[in-house]
Amino acid sequence: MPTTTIAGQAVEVNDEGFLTRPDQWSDDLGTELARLIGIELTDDHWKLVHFLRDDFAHQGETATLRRVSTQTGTPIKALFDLFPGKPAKKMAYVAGLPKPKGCV
Amino acid sequence: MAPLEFTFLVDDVLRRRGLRDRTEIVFVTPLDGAFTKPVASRELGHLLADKGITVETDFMVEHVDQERRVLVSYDEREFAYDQLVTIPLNMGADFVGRSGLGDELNYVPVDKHTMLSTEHPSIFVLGAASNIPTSKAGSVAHFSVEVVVDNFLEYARGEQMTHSFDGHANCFVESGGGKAMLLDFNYDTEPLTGTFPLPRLGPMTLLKESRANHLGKLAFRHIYWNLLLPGRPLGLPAQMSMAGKVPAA
Repeated sequence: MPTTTIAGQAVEVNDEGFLTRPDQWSDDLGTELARLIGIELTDDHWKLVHFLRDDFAHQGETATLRRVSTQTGTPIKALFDLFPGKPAKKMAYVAGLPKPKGCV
Repeated sequence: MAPLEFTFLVDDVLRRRGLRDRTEIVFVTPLDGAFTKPVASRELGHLLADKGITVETDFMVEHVDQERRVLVSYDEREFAYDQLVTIPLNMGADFVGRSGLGDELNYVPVDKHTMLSTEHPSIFVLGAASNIPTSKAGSVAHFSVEVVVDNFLEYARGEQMTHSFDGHANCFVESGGGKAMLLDFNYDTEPLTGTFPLPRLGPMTLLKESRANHLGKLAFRHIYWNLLLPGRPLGLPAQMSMAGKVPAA
């Protein structure tokens, strides 16, 4: 797996730039990952990022948009406002988790 | 995969009726691509473009405006349609929700290798009723049940469960023109190229359109009624095999 340096830290990433080792993530890294995709994290963003991390630890899979919405009580429209265009992919990226995938 | 299969079949029917030139087909998905795994994207990514099918990604349907015949997303993108074929949210049975056993989609959370409920140690969950992280495919239900039966017998005797379901799934995908694709994968291994079930001999090919695959799908009708339902052995192991497969790069 290729390694790159983000926020002064060496991290393993896949060819789309997603962290391949969720354990290498930290809040500081999250802030920098967000900045790299043009997002400044507010409390609303952090609530979602931390939910994703906790949920991943229990479920072993990155939560889908729908699951994030129902479990955090955040309307899907708000998810698109906070992470425009590709919210599922962007949230996973910022949280240092694999992007949600279909089966193929 | 099923929505894609349907899209290929519509394309096929329209071509055979000489109507394809006059029809626009758009495949709309909430995922970030028609294919989300690397090998499938690489091998099959061209198929939709080759057939002139437009793909719109990251589209979460908020509502359908039936008067204006428009599909509307949460971020206000719109698609006008003459005919819309849409897949409602796939959820588990209502009784699962009512019983309090299910998650937000009415699936019962289980250990993905043993099918034992994570909250109720006296409940095993069969087939599509569980939350195991893979397709709701018949093949998954079939393979997982074989593992559950063995485990259940051990568990009921108070022994450790020694069998583990690897998430094996086997899916035919009709792609039109008398051809089909075949996918074979599990929790840890994405769909790969190669041959199935035998290395080199196949006769079916993985992640590639072929007539042999289409014949395989047709043959499955006979297998379903005459072997599967009466509980006769299929000769296919529940565990996924890497024989005949080309590992991902």
